[in-house]
Amino acid sequence: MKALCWHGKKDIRYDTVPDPKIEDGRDAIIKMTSCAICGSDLHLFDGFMPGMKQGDILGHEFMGEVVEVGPENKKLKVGDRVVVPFTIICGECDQCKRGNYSVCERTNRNKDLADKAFGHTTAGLFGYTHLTGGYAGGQAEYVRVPYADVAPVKIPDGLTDEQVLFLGDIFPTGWQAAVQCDIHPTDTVAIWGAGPVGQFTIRSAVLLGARQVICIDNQPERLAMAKAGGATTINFDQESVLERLKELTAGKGPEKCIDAVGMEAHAMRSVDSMVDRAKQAAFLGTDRPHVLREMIYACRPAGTLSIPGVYGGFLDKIPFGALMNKGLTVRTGQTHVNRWTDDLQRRIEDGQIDPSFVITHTVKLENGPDMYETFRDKKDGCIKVVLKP
Amino acid sequence: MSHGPDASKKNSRTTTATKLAIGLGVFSLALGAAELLAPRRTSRNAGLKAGDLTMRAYGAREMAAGVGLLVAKNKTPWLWARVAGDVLDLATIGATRRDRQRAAMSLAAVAGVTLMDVMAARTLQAEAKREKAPLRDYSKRSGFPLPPQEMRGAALQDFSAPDDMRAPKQMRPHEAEDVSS
Repeated sequence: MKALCWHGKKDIRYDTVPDPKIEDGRDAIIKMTSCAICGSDLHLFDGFMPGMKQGDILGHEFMGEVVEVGPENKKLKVGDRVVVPFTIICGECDQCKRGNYSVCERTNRNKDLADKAFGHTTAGLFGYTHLTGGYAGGQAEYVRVPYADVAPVKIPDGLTDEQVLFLGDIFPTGWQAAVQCDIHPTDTVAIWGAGPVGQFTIRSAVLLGARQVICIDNQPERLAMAKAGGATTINFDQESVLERLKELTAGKGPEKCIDAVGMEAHAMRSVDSMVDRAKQAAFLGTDRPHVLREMIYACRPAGTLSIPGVYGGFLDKIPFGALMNKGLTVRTGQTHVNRWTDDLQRRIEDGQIDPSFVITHTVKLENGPDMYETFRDKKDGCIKVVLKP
Repeated sequence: MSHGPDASKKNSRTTTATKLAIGLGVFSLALGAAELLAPRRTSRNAGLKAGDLTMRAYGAREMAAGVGLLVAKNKTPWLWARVAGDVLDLATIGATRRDRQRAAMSLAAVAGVTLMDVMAARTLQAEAKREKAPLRDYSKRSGFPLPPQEMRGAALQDFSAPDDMRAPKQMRPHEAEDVSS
């Protein structure tokens, strides 16, 4: 079969690889019908996430048709149409029983690596380094789905791929980012980043009743889409983020701040990011946490920081004094996708939201390598890329 | 929904990279003035034993780059000119050092400025490339069936945050009344 494979920094190829096989009784094989490039895939593309090996198949946002099922899998049957969440979960461990699916204790088959890197293992992920299990990803014609009797979400025929594909990651991620802020009707929610996750976070905050939603970015197309979703926008190239946030909140700051950017904040847009970039180049640092620093300063005392943005390693110059003295609450983590999928699928079916609004580019899988660069550099107004086999 | 090209529009903005380029221009002028007017002292402070003529020539180069960065609309070539000058400066420090400690500090300072020059130049190049492409118009892509203001709170009819994602009641600062405005 054909797949997009990682061969090193900025080197992704459309390769011929062996077809996946059933390895465990609970497995299923999915014939991919749609997949997407996620912002967190760019961290692999840019070489900022450790633990990749040459030839690894990328991709963790995908859906398709079940073409083979393991003998112990009682949930799926051949012909089912499913969205596959990016987190691989067992459904049986202590964390899964609590709904903390992204920290499933059993699905990371490289638990020892994760224990060393993070202190404890987290869930296995598709196509996202050997620290999270080294599972083959979904940017491929066929995908082996382990524990496929738990996470895959069955999709009725009435919904298009474009409507439901993002149930596997960015829609629940934006939703959880807003939910874990515990939004109240009087709240101002400030969201850094108008990429795909930021866009879904905006819509989620609106649906959850935030009084005011503010989005911070510098890309005019993304800010226009943010505004369309109900956000007041701040272009950080044109105005001071901190001053504008004060203006919009009567000097008090937003009660809820959400980091939908993560480890690769623009290297040239602030002095601290420039220093971070220089340290990355010299192997003295791993992340550029400009947004995190700015959120801590901007947030209203006793407010909440929600961090869906991905961070990979060790962050420095974090103003922890401000964080502590302002009494801020920090909520973060990979998304517990299956905690939200039924509810969000129903909202799509009811017409409350159509997630396809975020798709700006649809191309063949074979054009995927070029689209990584287009997406990374925000060329051609690119916000979200969907790949078709 | 169509995912093809939407209507296009142009935009213009003063970016942080442009501001940085102007800052580097001012820095160039200041350093150039010091090298032109006080070549011996500048050389000594930098831990070098470069001749007055060399320092004045470098000063003239800095002044030219500074003026270019402040005046030119397209600042990128001037930034790359500064990078070339930085390389020359690094070589000069290596070849004419007199005071090891000061020379090391000069070396680190020039390396830092070189990095800023390269980053500013690369960013301005990327921005120029981007400015040429028409922007797409996503201003009608809300994803909602109704205007956003009418969707506000729509999910609350049948959703409440799970207990583990809510702040303890005693720590919810804004629940009783609107105190945010």
